[in-house]
Amino acid sequence: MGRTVGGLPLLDKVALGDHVCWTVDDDATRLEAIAGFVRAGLEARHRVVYCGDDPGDVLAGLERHGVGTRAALDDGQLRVITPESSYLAGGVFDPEATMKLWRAAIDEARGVGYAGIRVIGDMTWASRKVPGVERLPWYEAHANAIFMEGYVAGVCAYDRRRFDPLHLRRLGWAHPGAAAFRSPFEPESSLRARRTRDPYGVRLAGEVDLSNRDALRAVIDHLFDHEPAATIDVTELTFVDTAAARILVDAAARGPVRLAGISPSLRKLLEFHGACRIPGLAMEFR
Amino acid sequence: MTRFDHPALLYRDTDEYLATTVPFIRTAVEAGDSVLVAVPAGNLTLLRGALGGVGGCVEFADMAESGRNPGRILPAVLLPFAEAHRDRHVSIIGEPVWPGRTPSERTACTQHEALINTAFEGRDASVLCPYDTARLDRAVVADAWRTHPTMIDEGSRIASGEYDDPLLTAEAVNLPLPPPAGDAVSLRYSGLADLAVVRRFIRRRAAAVLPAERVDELVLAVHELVTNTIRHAGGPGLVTIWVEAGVLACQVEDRGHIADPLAGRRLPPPLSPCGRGLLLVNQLCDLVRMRSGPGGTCVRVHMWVAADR
Repeated sequence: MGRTVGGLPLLDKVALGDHVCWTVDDDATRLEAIAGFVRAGLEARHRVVYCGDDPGDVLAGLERHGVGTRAALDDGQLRVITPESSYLAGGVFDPEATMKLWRAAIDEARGVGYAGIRVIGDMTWASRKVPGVERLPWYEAHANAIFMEGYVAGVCAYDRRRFDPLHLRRLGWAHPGAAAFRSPFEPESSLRARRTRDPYGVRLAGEVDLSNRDALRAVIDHLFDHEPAATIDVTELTFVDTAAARILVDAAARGPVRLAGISPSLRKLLEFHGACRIPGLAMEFR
Repeated sequence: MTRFDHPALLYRDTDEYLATTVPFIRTAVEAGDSVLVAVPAGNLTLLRGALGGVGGCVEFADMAESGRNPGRILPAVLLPFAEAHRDRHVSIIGEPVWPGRTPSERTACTQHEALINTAFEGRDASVLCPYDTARLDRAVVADAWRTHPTMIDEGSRIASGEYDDPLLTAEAVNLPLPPPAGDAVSLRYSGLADLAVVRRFIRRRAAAVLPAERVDELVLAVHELVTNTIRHAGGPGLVTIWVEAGVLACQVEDRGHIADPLAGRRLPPPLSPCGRGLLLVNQLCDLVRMRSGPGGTCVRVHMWVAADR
């Protein structure tokens, strides 16, 4: 268990594969939750990456919170990097290049034998006038293709004081999960999407609504990345609203889809969208 | 030439019912129309028997089931049928009111009957609406004169002198809803993070009263209404839930204004993923009442506590 702020374990339930939009508005809370997240990662023998402004301050803060960073930094388990060496490596924000960087980081960590990577990104850099930053919502949505592989847990910290509320809301939609002051990340009310190999496709769990609809859309965008036909296992999906059900139905427009584990209420919703008349959509009810 | 005909049939007994409906159907079948009969189960049986072999060319629907919520008769019964048979004249018998309809359902039926005129404008269709004058409240029959341009009474067609602009008639029943029961509980919501909170709030309370499948449906319906608030009404809202006279009632109030009188009653554009929230609410719930104006909107939904009343 990570230590908590005011009794709230904000990021304790974040697991590998999760992608969380964390809106922060005070520095003490931020540091404490980062410390909890890093500590849990070090204990789980994950590679831990902190990416943000002023890495020195964060390291000092971690020490103050009792997280020993020296040994982890020395053996490479903990990495502290700046936006300039990651998101902004080419001097501008290039989403494709950034994703390539993350994929390289994954290959490297796998090669060294880590069971997973925990990334915490302080996104304050994106509140500055950086060329390319207007593509950040696209990046946040399509980064879900990386997270659904189940190897990386990502927490994107957005400082409410630095971002326009409407822009922040749009950025939030692209994340399957959310956390905020007094509102910890809850897997039950978030979307969890994990790539499956046999059968090929994706397993969805949790809840999809307006708050994470763009994340579902992005997951479906990447459904056929590796194979031409896919199974979407919805057995553990506990809530789907009408717009999200529509996204599931529309998935069949891109290739043959098998929807497996459909609950009675989801069945009704799919029928409302005319799912039985969609060629290429096979439905299995539970 | 396209024409829309929307007469009300005033009948006192079975003979008068059959004397108009059977020829209406026979003539339509002979003319090659597509024919739908959507009436309550008792009259459905009656008509099937009287039609004999002609019944094979007719589509039947139990209005007490498919039209239980008057708000879904247009989008779930009448319009899909008309749309599926665009290439020819469609003839429909639609009987939305029957003895046993509650006062708030009757108001919803008046609104529905008025809006048929708007929704079918320009369509090549006839919709005949029978009214049981022997058993229905006098006010219901008076409303039929307001919502139908033509009346059929004692075998003859007459123009209704009471018929008015359907949008004005629909607006005339856009009145404040009666207050919730005294033991109603409310929850205020404002942002995206509250969606899950509202769902849990509704689920907890509905689970004590409704079977599991209906709990899911109510949770979804309220969620769609609250999502509309957060998307369009730009501000906080209030959700309230209570039990009254055999129904679990729930309402969502916000500062938005739903100006489209056909909101939730149109067929959605096939390719657009949006604009289906209210339509779905109409499908899921046993009654949907709405009061909307520039000062705000209140949408109230009912779920029957028992499967039958």
